[in-house]
Amino acid sequence: MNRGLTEFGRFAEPTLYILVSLSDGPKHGYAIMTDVEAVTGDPLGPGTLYGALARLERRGMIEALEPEDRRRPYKLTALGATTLRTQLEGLAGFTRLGLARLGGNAR
Amino acid sequence: MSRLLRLYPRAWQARYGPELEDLVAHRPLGLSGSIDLIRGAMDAHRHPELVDPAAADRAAGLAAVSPERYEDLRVARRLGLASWLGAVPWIAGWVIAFNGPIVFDGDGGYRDGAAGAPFVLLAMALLAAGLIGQMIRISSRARAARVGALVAIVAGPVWGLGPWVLPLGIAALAGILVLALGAWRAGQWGVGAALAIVGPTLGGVAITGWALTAYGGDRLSVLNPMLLAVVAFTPIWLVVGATLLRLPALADPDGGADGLIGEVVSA
Repeated sequence: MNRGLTEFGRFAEPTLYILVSLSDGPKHGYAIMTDVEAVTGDPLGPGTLYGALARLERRGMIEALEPEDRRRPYKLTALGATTLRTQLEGLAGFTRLGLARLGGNAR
Repeated sequence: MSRLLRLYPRAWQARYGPELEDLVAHRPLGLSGSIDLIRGAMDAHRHPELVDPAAADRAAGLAAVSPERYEDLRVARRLGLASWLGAVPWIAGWVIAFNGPIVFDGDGGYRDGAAGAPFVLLAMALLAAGLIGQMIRISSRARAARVGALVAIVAGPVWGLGPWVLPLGIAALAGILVLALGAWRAGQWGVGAALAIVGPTLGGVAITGWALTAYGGDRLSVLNPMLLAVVAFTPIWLVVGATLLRLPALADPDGGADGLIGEVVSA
């Protein structure tokens, strides 16, 4: 069941970033961190990253793969992909609405 | 392992520790990263349900064990229960001692606490039993913890015979502190157990030092703050016992599908 990311509290935003990062293939923690930093411009702290990863793993939105040395890659599950799509579509609708209103005010 | 990673619960360290170490190795923490890691550790303690507790058992050497090792751990568990019981005579002995008859000598009055001495000795003997349980349970990798336990096993009961010999008491307390910190560093104890000993023990030492300094000449008034110190030391018996209580699963001698033939059981 898709319950969205709001239940993650302060981890809602980091979990969204992580899901987006994993949407093009499995990555380990350090790769996720650098990818998120490249996309958002802000580094994701290690405590926040693993707090979010633990929550996503617990909810079945990501899955841990076999470790490679000390690094363990994670991949998006079907539930994670559905959740991400729903979240992004909601944000897209929200963005369109905001921009439309902003455009109306500008006129 | 980064010292800050040790702030995480054992189950988290077991599950995510190597990954976090790798990450920290590639990206120095800095101040903001350190604060973020501390916040993460606090969050992990608030949400232990996020990680399979069996991971901590495996990390603490509590994976399924052989029948022989299981029997050893059951013995250690019983010794832990003895340590718990020791908290009673510890408190009772000092309460009795501090309410003993007032005796006067050339330096003024003092309480004759001889009636409490057997209770204190019993308490130290029961604590030593719990510490022997720690020696049985704690992995040989945790050398500092084992040395600390050994020092306390020897110094504690001897101090119980003569509680006025402060160096022996100090040696026993030092041994206990080394045990707690060593067991924590080796992943045998959680940070909560270690802090539950270190914090109150240091508090008790501080109270004792202050009381002896402030009331040293008044052998009657000094007893009130000393009773506080006695209470502060009591978690030692409780934590030494509590860390011996959990038993692992028993390994399947035939190597079953999951390697276990039972859940964690209570003796």
